[in-house]
Amino acid sequence: MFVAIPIVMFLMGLTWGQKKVWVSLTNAIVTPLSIFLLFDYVLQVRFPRGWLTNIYYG
Amino acid sequence: MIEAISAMASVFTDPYLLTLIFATTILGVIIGVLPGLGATTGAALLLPFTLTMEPVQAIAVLSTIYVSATFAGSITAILINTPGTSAAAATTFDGYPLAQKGEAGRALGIAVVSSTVGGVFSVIVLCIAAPLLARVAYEFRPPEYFALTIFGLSMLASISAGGAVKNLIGGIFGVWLSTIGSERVTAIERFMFGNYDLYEGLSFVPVFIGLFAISELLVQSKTVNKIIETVALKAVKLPTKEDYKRIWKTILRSCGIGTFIGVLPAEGATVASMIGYSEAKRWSKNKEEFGKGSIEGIAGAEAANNAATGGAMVPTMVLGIPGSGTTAIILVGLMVHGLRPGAYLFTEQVEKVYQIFGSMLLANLMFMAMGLYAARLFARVSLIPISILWPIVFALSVIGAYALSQSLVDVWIALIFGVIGFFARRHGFAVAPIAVGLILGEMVETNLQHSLKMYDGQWWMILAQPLAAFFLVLAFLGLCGPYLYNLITKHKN
Repeated sequence: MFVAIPIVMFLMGLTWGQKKVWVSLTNAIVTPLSIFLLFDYVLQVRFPRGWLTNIYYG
Repeated sequence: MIEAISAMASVFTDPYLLTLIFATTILGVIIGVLPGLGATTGAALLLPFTLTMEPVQAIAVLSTIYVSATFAGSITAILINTPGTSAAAATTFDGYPLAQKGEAGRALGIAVVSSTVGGVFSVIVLCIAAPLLARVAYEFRPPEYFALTIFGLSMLASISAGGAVKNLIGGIFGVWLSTIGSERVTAIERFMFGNYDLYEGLSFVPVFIGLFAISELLVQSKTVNKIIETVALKAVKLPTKEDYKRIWKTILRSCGIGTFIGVLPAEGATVASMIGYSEAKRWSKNKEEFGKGSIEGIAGAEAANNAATGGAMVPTMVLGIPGSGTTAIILVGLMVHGLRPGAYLFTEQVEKVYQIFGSMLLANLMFMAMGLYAARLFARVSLIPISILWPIVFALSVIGAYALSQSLVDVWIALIFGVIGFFARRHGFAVAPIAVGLILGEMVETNLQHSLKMYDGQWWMILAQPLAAFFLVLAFLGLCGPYLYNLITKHKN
């Protein structure tokens, strides 16, 4: 899930008119990470295991 | 009474709740000024964040988003001729022309004051009317509730912009969706197609996120190249004595109209603002100014749309019948937190109910302060490029849909309903009737089953109950009244 979301966000940004690639890339990485941390730390929501969450959860 | 007042006052002295409402008001205003987001999408996106909160805090967050985003729609309506929410559409008629004349500050000041008066008035009405209606609803049994939900479904015809027939089709689709899963009494599996993730039925949260947030995201993809022209704003000006003299009657009238429209099941702020505006024009001595920057036009629309927010909470909390898409989400919030809407809420959870009302009152006062002192700043937020904003909405939608049951099936449900909502909107169907139909469908079925049990399967006994018969007749007239009227006039001619 956390691989798919940044990819979709990045592509969505570009196809919706974002000309600066780094802006779209930063948005695609920082936003899901912030939301993930918010849900994990504050709301205690556990996310499904995958490539990235395996690294995080250990 | 004293208990109610002290519960409301406790909101003003609770530092945590004060901070939460303050932060949510800022968020609500930001959501309101962002064209396309609006109160309903904002509430749908924030619903997953409220899951771990206490019930009062969670509903306070959702209702604060409701009132502050409804108001904030007027900021962009006045400054960039784009209503942030559909409820502010009527504000553009006179707000933008007045802003173009170099009086944006005056227009915003009138919108802020009118919205606050409308909002506070409706909360007062809510505090008085809701317990009274709850006393009446206390006597309701399954036949009355069944008839009432049928009446609520019939009112879907006018819930939003789509035509009456399309809205009813949407409502029926929502009712059908409510039948997915195992039937509660007989445990018969319905429309599950062997998928046991649907055994408990469709969860409201991912469906609502899909219908309101993801479908809006897809709809907004059409506005990629839209150029926004802003009007300069120096500072928001409070109305002068002369302005007050001109608008006080309009504000009072719109307060009444907005609250009344809001109380009607399945009617909301958008309808209220349109009627508030047209009534302001009808009663005005300066009709020629309307459409060219009339302050009465702004006051009429803004007082009415915010008055509808408190009014819409009456059927939502007392009868469990939502007045709009946003109140449907608040209703789901109530249910998720174990607060079953209905008459018993007012006898068993009085303190919580009045704390929620107190939160709404506080939110109205807070957005007034923000509207007066920070409208210029918030107007800038509306210029965030959609290529940044909507990917964020996508991430919030997907992660939020997952959060409730921590199930990937919910994510797929949200995405599927996003696509369904998008195609529905594209073909002129509104999504709010689908959401309300989904909620009411379960109520209709449960109450019909209980009624049939009460009368040993003799369904016609429902019609013998005076109040049930009254609601069914109202539903019939609501649906067939216009056609009957047309037939009669045709016959006479």
